Amino acid sequence: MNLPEAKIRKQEVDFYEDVFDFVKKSTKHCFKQFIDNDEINIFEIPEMEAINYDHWVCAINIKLDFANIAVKLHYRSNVARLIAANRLNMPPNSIPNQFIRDIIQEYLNLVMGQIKQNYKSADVSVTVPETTPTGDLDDPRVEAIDRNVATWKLSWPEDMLYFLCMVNLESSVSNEELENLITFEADDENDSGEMELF
Amino acid sequence: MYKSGQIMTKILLIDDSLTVRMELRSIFADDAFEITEASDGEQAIEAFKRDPNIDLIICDYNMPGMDGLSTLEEIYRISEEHNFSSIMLTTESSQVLKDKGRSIGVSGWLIKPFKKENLLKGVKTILSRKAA
Repeated sequence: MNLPEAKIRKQEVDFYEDVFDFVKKSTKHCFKQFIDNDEINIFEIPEMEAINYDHWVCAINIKLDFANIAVKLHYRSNVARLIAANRLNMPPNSIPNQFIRDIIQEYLNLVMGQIKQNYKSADVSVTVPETTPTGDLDDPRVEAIDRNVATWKLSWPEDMLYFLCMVNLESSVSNEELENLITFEADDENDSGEMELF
Repeated sequence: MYKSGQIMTKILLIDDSLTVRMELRSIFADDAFEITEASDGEQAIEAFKRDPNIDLIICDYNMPGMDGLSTLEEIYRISEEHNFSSIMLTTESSQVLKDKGRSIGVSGWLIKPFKKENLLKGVKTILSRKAA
């Protein structure tokens, strides 16, 4: 089937925007549940604003039939410590250092679960979340904005603390096939369910 | 096993996340439970070989090395009496994996993020079924 170029382009843009939107909502939804706090905000980063990549980056890769979705989370150790303190109901200075990486990895694991749950795919492979240090990069974004990448901040409470989320998406199907892909909505109000008993 | 005249439930927690293991420990921080932890499948199998008198295994799916279902499959294989129940606690929700779990002998499937009360309710039901 040959589609007009403009229609193909629109489908492609719609698909990318759809996935970015879903992953954004998933990061927010999972974080709300993760720290049991409704006051989580998504901050879009204006194109003219530099991106500050904090010291640690935790990454996970989800390979579906039709796309590869890489999610990265840049954060500072003091932010991870506060998240761990909140999650484990302990004072921040009593959180053992091993939890600093582990807590963010577990959070990304939940985001990955949401993505897999919503984008049903016959063939899925997922990497275990991995944390590495970065060089505290400050990117003024001189290069053209990459349409495969979306970047936003999740912040709480009252925008005093934040971390940076990035998603890099590469579709692995033809533009014509994008038309057949179903779009999904992250259900912000979806509660954790009960245990399924066998 | 008995502690102060009470029957203790022995639980083996298998999850590569320290955070999850700590949370589960705090959920079962009660004299009625004795907890053993493992951070991957191989550790879990070793822990089970050391002490096969486990009542309940709570297991993650995505872990480095062996996945959770392969781990449980191996534990069921080496267990002589199959005298324990198992729960998958995971972000995975695929029906294929659930069916595989059911065929291995898994008793319950709870999707992360989970609520403490949903875990406790499921555990209570599974343990009472086992006791019946």
